[in-house]
Amino acid sequence: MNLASMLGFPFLACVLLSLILGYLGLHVLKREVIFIDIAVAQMAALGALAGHLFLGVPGDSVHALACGMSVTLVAAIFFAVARRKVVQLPIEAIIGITYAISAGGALFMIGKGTGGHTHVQDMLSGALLWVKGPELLWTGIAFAVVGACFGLFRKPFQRISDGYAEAVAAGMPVIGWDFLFYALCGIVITLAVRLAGVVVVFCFLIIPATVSAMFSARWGIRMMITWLVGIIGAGAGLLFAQWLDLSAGACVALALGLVLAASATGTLFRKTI
Amino acid sequence: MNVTVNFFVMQITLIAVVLVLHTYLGLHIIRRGIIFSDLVLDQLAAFGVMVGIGWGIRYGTPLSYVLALGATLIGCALLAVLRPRNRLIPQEAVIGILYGMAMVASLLLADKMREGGASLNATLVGSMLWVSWPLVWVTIGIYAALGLLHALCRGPMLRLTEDPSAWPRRAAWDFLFFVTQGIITILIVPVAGVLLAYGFLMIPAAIGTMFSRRWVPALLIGWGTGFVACVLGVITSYRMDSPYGPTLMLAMGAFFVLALVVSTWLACRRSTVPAGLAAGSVGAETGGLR
Amino acid sequence: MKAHRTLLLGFVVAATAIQVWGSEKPLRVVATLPDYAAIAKAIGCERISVQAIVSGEQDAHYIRPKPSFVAMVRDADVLLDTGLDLEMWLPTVVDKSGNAKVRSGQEGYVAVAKGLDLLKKPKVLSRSEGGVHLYGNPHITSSPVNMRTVARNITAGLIKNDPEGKAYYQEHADKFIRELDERMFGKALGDILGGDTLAGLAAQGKLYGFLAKQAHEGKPLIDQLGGWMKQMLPLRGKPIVTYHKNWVYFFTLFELEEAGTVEPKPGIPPSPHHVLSLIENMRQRDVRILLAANYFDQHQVKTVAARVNAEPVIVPLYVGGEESVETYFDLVDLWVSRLVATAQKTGVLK
Repeated sequence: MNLASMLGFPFLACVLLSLILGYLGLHVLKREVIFIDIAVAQMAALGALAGHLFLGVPGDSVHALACGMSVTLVAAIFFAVARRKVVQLPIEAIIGITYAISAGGALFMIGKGTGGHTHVQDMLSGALLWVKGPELLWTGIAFAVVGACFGLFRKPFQRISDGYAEAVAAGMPVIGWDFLFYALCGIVITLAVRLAGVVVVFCFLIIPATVSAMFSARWGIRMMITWLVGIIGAGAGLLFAQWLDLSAGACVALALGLVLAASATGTLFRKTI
Repeated sequence: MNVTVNFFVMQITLIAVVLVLHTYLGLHIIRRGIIFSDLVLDQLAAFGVMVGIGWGIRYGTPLSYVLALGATLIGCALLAVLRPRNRLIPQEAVIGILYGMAMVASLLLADKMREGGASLNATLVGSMLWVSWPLVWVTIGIYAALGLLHALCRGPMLRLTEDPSAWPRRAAWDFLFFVTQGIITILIVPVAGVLLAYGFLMIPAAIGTMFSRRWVPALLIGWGTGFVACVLGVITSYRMDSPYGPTLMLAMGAFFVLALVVSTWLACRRSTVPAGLAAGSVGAETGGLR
Repeated sequence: MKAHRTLLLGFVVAATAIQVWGSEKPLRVVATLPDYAAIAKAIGCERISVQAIVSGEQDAHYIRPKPSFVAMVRDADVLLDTGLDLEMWLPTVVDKSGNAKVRSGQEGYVAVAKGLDLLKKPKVLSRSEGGVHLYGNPHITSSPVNMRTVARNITAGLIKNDPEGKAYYQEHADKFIRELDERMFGKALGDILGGDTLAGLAAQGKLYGFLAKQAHEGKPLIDQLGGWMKQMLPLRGKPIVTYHKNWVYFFTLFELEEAGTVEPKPGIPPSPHHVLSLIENMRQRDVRILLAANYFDQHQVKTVAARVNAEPVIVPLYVGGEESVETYFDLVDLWVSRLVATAQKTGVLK
């Protein structure tokens, strides 16, 4: 059994995901908009499904991707505006409900369209094991471009992440920056969800960043730890999936969770010693 | 009775009853800001049911409910215990991770089970189509009991939400609150599925909150709009020949979006105070500010 | 002396080793469905080793491909596939395995349904028709008469990849088909009309009608019917509701009427309208039997059956789907006996 040929591409995919989602995760944690990203991920999946059902685009094509992305852009606008303008209901409620509605919408479309419950599992845990070279290549390029944008705009992004109210008070055009942030997130998430599914993307986003928070407060070190956690989780998860003949995506997510649990216990010990 | 009429009456009765307690608890949850915790409990209940199916325990039997309860209680315990003191890790992150892990557990179980994919789908989408009158009666019974309990204890219950400070015996009442939430979760998730259960809890209450700060009006508005939305959803699903659970969800979603737009517009119009000062207040009475 | 003995022992060992090394390795056959594996085993016996990817109690449509499938396909010499759009996950697995020999169109690939006249070809292709099968209904294993063609296709595939075994495979295949014919029609009719003729008529659902009208040596042909077709004769024309459209070919063969389907799109709960009209329909026509494959949620099946006052018949769809079902013959035996028993129980058969 040639492990490299089975797990080579999936591992590379995970590394890519870990790099970009890890960084995003740090922001997401700071801004405390954790569920926005699962909502955006779900809406990206919804967009792709809608494209497939109503416009007839095949599930894997560029058109489906475009549909997914347009939906996430709409979501980005919606969340940026809602965070600023909607005062009569907490933003978390809006996000949670939006997530549930878009998941409901996705299931509605799956119910109306072809296929069946594999679509549900694919939507959630992706088809990580079957990722192919060319797809990985241009996804990687897209990630690199977005990564460059994040590098370019890191100062304003970090400023808003570190304190929303202060940024507003200082007169920053927060809606604009927020929209840009969520739009870039949206592009990354749409591509990532295609590879690995909603749940896996969510875990890559939150868990490494959380682990890094246990060990440091500085951006630089946290990024390093985040990437390390992501890569370890990916490797362990893929091997686990191979050994137990399970879904690759779900195992990677599980591995990330286990790394988190281990770190938490470790930190606990460290404090009590 | 005509089969179709019977079906409609049964579904609408169940929804009407379910929405009462769900809207009420939802109002508490929104005001306390513990919104995503219910998703975790819903998903764990679904996981419990799936484990049951995997072990050959038919869904709908008492043992199946016990398993769901067990899984849910683990979730309650984790939610209560895991409160990171680290400033960089928000409580929301913990809840999110718990939800993620609950989903992962369900996915891995589905992978190994014979009808795994179908079970997973069923727990997400629900099987309200197969609700029977006995189930409706049991649900009404339990909800009535819980409702009575909450009516009798409404003093401390309301205080839980309105007074966030640590008052004596708060923990006991808190526990009662979560147990109520747990019970309605395990009752409704096997039938309505995770998403719809979450929708029943959040959406009518959210709509109510958007229009009134006071408990009774919010409850009435929430229940009313929720009920109308669901009835429309049932009719639409029948007419359009579309999946039942997701259609109800979308119907409620449509009403939610509408309510969001309308209430925001109303709030903007009503607010004669600069946006900066009004931000953060929930529909504050502008009486004293003008 | 001792040296001589050691030398002799060494010589014997070496000779055995050379013989073993020189003899044929069994042909490695991998089948998607356990039914194909079972038939391949009956034809290939000692000359092949067989594995099935889908296990007997799984739903072949919606398998999620696993790493273990890739391992199986990687080492395969011959791959048996239905060849229609049932096993949609197969191309991904074959791709990943890197085994070019068993790609569609290559010498190691066998589309077992080749040459079969397919039923239920869709006239209108609509994306929203969940699970539409473009070429026609792919559940060919539900009818024993289809398995004659399957056996012949498998034999051709085995011969192509192992030409030296040609006589061996041919002999076993003929034996299998003879036994299949006997189990289907009984020995007597086979002698009179010949298996191919009978099969041709049966596949079109015209056998009973034909036999009723003909006589041979003064005796009506229908009286000489044996096997499964005889057992199912009392059920001819009866309406039965199925859980999903797995049984089209079965119903055609035994001339049963499919009075409706509970879950037309597998895995997707049916809509209220569909269910309500089905129940209405079943009550009006007094349909008392619900036939379902055992990979569906059994609780759901039983609930539906209770709702419509019908008796559920839950059977494995494939070989190995239940403990006692080890060959294709066991499988069909089980289908027939359970249906007949339930029909008697519910009073469908007076």
